[in-house]
Amino acid sequence: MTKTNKLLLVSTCLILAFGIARHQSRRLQLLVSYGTKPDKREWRGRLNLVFAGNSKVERGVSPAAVVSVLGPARAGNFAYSACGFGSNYLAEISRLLDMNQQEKIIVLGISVSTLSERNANLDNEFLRMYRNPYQVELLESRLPRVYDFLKPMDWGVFGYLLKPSKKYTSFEIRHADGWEASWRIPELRIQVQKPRERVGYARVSDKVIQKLLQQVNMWTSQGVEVFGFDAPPQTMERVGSKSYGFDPDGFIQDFQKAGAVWLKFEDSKYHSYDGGAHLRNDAALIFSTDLGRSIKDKKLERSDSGK
Amino acid sequence: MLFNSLPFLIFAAIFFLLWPCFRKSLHARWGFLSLASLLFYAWWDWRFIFLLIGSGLVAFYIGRAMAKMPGRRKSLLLLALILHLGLLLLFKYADFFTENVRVFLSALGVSWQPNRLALPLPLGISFITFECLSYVIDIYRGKLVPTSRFLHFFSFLSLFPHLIAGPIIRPADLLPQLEKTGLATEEQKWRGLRLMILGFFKKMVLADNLAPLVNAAFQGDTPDGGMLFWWLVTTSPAFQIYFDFSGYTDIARGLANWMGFEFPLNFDQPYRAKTFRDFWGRWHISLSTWFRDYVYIPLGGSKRGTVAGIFALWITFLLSGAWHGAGWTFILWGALHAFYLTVERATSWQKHLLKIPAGGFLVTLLMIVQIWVAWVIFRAENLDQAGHIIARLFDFRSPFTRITEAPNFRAITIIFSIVFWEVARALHRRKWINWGRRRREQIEFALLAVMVVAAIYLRGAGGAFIYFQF
Repeated sequence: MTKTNKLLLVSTCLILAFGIARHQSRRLQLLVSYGTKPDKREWRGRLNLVFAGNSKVERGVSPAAVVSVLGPARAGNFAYSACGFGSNYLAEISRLLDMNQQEKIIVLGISVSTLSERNANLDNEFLRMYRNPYQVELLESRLPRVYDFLKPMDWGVFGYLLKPSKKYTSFEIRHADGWEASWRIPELRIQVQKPRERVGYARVSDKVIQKLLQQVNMWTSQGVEVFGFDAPPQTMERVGSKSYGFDPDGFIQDFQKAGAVWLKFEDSKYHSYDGGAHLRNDAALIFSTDLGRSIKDKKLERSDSGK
Repeated sequence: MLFNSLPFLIFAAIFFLLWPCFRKSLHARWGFLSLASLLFYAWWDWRFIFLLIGSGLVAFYIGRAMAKMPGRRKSLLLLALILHLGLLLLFKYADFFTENVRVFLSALGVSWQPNRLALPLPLGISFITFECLSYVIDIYRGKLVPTSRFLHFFSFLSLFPHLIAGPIIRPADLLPQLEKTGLATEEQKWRGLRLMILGFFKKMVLADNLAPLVNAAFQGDTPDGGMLFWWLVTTSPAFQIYFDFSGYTDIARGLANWMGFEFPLNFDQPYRAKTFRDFWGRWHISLSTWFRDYVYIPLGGSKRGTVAGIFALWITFLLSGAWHGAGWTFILWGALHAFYLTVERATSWQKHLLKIPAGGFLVTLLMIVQIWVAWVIFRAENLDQAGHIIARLFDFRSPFTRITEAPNFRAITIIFSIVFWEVARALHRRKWINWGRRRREQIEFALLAVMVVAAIYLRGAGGAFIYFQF
């Protein structure tokens, strides 16, 4: 056998051996994933209840739990990690709705970072999928086992191997409706940095806000009910708002002027992880139920007031 | 199509499976290469294959016309320059130019609001333009006989390993190789595989894992830190750009080897250079030599006296800066290197320093400081940001602020690994450790296998190669 073939063979064997070893050992894996990530583009024209936002919504909102309170609906969690409300994302949300349905609802998880130029238009999971659909779709959705097998490792594993006595529980369960139930111990290093540093990039963009408000206006004029909420946990986002002079109350007023409804939640009710960045799986279920109840109440209020 | 993507792996597997079928017929070989390269290019945006074919047709027919009508060579060359550079100017510099004219006029009190063309930048247009110009200029100079077959020329121009981000291959180097049939030798395959593994490792493990720190630093994510903090941060783009681009070149050279071709060396350990002249002989060699042969020497080079030589040098580096991107940061980066070279020519400061104890170390350190500062300008979003970061780099008031809070564990691990690697190499060169040939081959084999596994499991978030934008 030639040296070239030998190297190819040895490398392939090593990849397989390492991949198998990793899946056998939780210590080498850190984050254990269950289930298949849905190809959310397949939802086009099929939903009448859409949840959108960043990873706080992706991990914090279970459409099934919302529907259990709100009543029957074809619901999907269309949130993506690090996603902001850029024009491509807003356009894709519009495409998801089945406009023939009488009741159409869009629920937006709006936080400071979703209004930043960077998260909206430069770098997020949605844009990665949008710009490179073949690769992402093929591996993540069509060949989930291959994707999981070849998934890059968390570098935290190395630090972790040195401290084998440390406790860990890290998992994500991918639901077909887009919700990623998850919990992670130890927390991601980047997430446990001081909130001031973490939200340093979250400089809100007036352009992104204007675009979002225009789109909300358009949706409501087409008969779509639009709800917005500041997805819990909100600690770091509040710091971000203060640092860059963002006025959340002013934004909420403009949002409501565009015809949408703002929902408020008590942050301290829900357990979070990653230094207050994401809701734990159990807290996400409680929050989703609250979210469903809140939407229902607002709808009743609206119908009572004759709107 | 990105080298570090699943579609490319499938594309390459099919290509190399079919390639042996075309070992006998030259026309079939060229046709297959051209077709595969067009598919590779069209994967990004199929509309621009017409631009690629159009550029190729212009260069090919002007080259042939020069051979048929030697008396009109000059006007034909002028036509080729206008068409090729015109296309490059239109796609790459039109908005930059009009915007600067607008700013200039508004400073004079004249209000002018031009419409932005906002044309998409065709992938690799700068590289394609330079390949075409090489072909035409070499024919004009009588250094190259034009090929009479378009497929032969087009397979040279579009050959997918070098199509998008180089290395810039001279027609005199590649056209003769394309006229040979046969397959890669076993030795070429081994070298090719080694280069590809090294290239993927550099790109996917080193460059892509440094990227988050670099992106964070230059997008304003990183908190204000002290001098040492910023030196650590700015070390990352220096290595990221190097690993990204030299990784791409290694993969391109490896792919060429697997086809049975040879591409020239494009990077030769540039950060070990002791002079700036040496640095430019080691960094992006194919571009540096292109500018030397087609801009610097025609402007007189160093043969027409010191002042004329420095003038030619500045023009060459300003153009080289502008070639990298339509922005003042790139032009300033070119100007800074021209300045470094001018000072070097005038003072030969490295020679003097090398005479004192620890002079070698001092020269390396000063070279690195200057090159790093230039990279800050190259990578910065705008001149203000570049100025802010450079001011931090030389702010001695609080050197240690936040040094322990450097934001990326991966990046720091990589930077220290590189330093460790360099020290180990230096020790090895001094023959303190004397490995036998067989032992060295075994170690190399094991290292390459580990690199493959690392490229899969320790890869960073995949992104396009930095030089694609040029």
